[in-house]
Amino acid sequence: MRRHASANSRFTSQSQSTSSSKLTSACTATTNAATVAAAPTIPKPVLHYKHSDEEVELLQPRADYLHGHHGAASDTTTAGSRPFRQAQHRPTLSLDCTLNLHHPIGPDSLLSALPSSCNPPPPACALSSNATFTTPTKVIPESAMLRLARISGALMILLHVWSSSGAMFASASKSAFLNIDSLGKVLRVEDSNGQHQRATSLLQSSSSPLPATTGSQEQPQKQQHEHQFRSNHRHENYSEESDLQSAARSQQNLETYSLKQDDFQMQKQESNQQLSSPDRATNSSGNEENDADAENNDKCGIYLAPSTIPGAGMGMFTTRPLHKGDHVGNGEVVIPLVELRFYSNEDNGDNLFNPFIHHYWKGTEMGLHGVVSEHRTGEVMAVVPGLDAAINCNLALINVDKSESEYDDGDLHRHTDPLAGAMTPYHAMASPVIREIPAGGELFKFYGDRCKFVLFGDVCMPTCISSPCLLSF
Amino acid sequence: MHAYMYFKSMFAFFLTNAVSSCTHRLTHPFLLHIVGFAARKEEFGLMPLSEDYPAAQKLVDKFSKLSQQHFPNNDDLQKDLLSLISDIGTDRWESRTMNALPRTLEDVKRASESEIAALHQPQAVRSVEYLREHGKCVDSIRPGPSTLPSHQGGRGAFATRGMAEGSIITGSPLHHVPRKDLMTIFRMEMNGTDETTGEEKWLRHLDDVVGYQMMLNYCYGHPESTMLLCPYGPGINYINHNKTLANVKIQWAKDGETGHNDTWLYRRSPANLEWDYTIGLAFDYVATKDIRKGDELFLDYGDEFEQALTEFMAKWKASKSAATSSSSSLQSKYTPAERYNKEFGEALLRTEAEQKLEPYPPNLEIHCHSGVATKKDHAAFYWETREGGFPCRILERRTSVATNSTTQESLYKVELRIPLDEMGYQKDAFTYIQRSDVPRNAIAFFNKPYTTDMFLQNSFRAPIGIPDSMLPGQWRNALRFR
Repeated sequence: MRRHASANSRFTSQSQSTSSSKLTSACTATTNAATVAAAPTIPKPVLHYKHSDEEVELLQPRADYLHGHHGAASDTTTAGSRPFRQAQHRPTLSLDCTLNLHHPIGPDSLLSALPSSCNPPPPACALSSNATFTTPTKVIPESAMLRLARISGALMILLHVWSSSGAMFASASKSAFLNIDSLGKVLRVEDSNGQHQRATSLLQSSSSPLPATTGSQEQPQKQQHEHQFRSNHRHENYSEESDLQSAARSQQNLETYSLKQDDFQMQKQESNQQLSSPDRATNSSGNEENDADAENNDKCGIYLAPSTIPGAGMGMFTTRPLHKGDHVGNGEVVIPLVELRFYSNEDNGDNLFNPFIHHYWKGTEMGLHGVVSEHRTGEVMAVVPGLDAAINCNLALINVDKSESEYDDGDLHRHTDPLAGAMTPYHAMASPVIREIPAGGELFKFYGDRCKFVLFGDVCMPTCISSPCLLSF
Repeated sequence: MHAYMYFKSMFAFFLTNAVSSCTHRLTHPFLLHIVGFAARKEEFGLMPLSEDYPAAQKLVDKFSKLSQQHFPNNDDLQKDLLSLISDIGTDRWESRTMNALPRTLEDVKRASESEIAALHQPQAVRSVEYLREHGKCVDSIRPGPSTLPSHQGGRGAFATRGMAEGSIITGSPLHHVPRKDLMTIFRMEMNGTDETTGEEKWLRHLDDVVGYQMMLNYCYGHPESTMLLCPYGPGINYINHNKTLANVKIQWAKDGETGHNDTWLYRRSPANLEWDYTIGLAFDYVATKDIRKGDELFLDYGDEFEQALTEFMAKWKASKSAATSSSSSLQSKYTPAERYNKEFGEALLRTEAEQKLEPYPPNLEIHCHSGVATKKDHAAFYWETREGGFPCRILERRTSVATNSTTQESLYKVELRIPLDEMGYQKDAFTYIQRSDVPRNAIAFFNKPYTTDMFLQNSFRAPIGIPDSMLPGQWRNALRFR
């Protein structure tokens, strides 16, 4: 754990340095030394809006990015020719970068929110992928922020709020920003040529692929997103997925209209559905009917790739954000291995090489009850390929629950079907997601942290890795 | 003085948690004298276990609440307090829970705003581009009812997206089994008991093979090799065999992809691979035709497999016609417990006396939910996957009308057989308890040991064929038998 802490410290320090230098050089941040000296503890402006007695925190500027709270007190970087010390100074950034800081999704997604002066951003305009960020109470669609950034009225309001107080914004937003969720689909958008675009309405496009004309019209903007991603490819955390989604949404959401308060609730629901359905459908088990976005579904959702846990081999990753209650995986066979040591042609099985020893579930965990006699050994291993075998375990980040098993013998009967008994009738179902997982996140299941009798005889050993920098056997 | 009082109270709070956690760990009988674990502990410290993170989260929440309540704007004081608390969790007071605590005030604040997991999340994320470059897409297959005749297929694998000929559909790392006799089931004979330990002694008849593990059907092998390769990639094991409809073939993954290591193919023999628990082999599954979304995937399992299947079918038919009426009748009565529960899950249960006249299928036995033994609330009986219950007998049955209701409910008096030793060391030691008014949903049928289809001695068993061209020369360590 100490090793982990020190590694983390290095990690944040490095990232902080990177992020600040990139930001400042690209977006020409300026330092206002007088402000810094006079108000070292300026409260972060928090913007709110109210609806139906529910106060939701909308935008919380992450001044941490600038202040270097995370162990980077001595980092000195340059802003153009102006050096400043992150942890002690509060630089006054240009408006462009201020907008970036308001973006709630993550550091990489900030890039897509850059206004035209930083867009396409030069490589130096990047934030480090490892910079800290906080997921706000309410996640605002990235595309919505993109639109937001490009509306001059919004810029004025934000500027006003930044210089005064959040309370004013609360009342102003009631009229202009209330429907923040719907901004992405209602506001005017300029393509890279400065021409205003109109696209199919959200309602029309919500359940069908985009018309070809729309796609061609939006191509410049999509390319713009891709350019942003490629120019900042080293930002690993929340990069391509949100970028692609944003591009896809922008194709669907472009519609010029005047916002009406009465439509708020309906539009909010539609917007939520629009955002959530593609991700969830493609990660749910075999549900073709829910594949609302064919293009999105054609992209791979699950990858087998080197684990983020050093030495742990391969791991499973999602390319789309997964939410609590989603299901991941498509189901799998459960193959019983019974009394392996008992039948082994070795000395009582003590000298047995069992290659499945690290990839099996206890039989009873998968519904294999009483298939062998407890009187003899009671030893049943359930080998469940796929997610349940390739997935790793990180106790701090368990995000997928164990799958339940179901029985389906295909109606084969030993009396009439010769292949009865040749195929397993036990099947694991899709695994429920129990914690929010970002795009690119590794999947982790809990497979026990004690009393697994392997390698060390009867020793209670944690077989699950508790920290990403610790190596399991 | 004011701050000191709060310091004191918080110190006591954390000390209580830390010490209780610490003493619990240190007195664990297994952890005190294990060389291997000691070495691990010296290197890594006490690793937090599953329950330690929720406990640490509670500490974080408590810390934040108190510090925000009493010295909200004094980061220095908060840092000092955190430092003090962290110092508790070192040296002899080290505990897993304390090791799960964030180390810096900033991290504590972040953990308080969301959860400790949020601190670890950034390190467990890879970019999508990295995944595409270094990973293998593994969600291209989903299971579904096979298009093959029902007696052949059961479930099959279906493409979740269209794929062009020659493209890699998916990949799978492989478990290597250097000696295929791991899958062999020999005839076992009980041969007395050990005089000192009292354990049963069994005699293994190596010349009398009675069957093979079902796993053999899900592994790839070659007649000239003792090596078996068992894939564990998602969906792979649902791909059925069909020589004519085959639209998928296997090939070795590229070096470095999916954990595949080419040196295993060229330099390592089956004997050399024994005791190597790492994964160094992987298959790619390649489309041999253009595949549309929703198409079923088929693989040619090879001539050896086809021949084995043909011979098995002929043999099964012959044995079927030669079977006696009694054995045939016995087989026809077989009903899997899972199917029986589905069909008769709410039917009245026969008492022991009634079962003598009208017995249940011979492969079934009745179990009562473990909650019955602990006198759990009757409404809470739920047969989750891991719930196996205890064997029980139905002694009596009565009908009851629930209060405030006109519906009738059958309640049972049962006798449960509970092993005295959960670990199974005392195999014949049981205790018997009786419970009355047990509802129907607390009782279910389970298969008797060794009765399910997987134990049929005449079940079809054959590995999927590794193409001859793929088999490395040094793996050809077995004689080919026809």
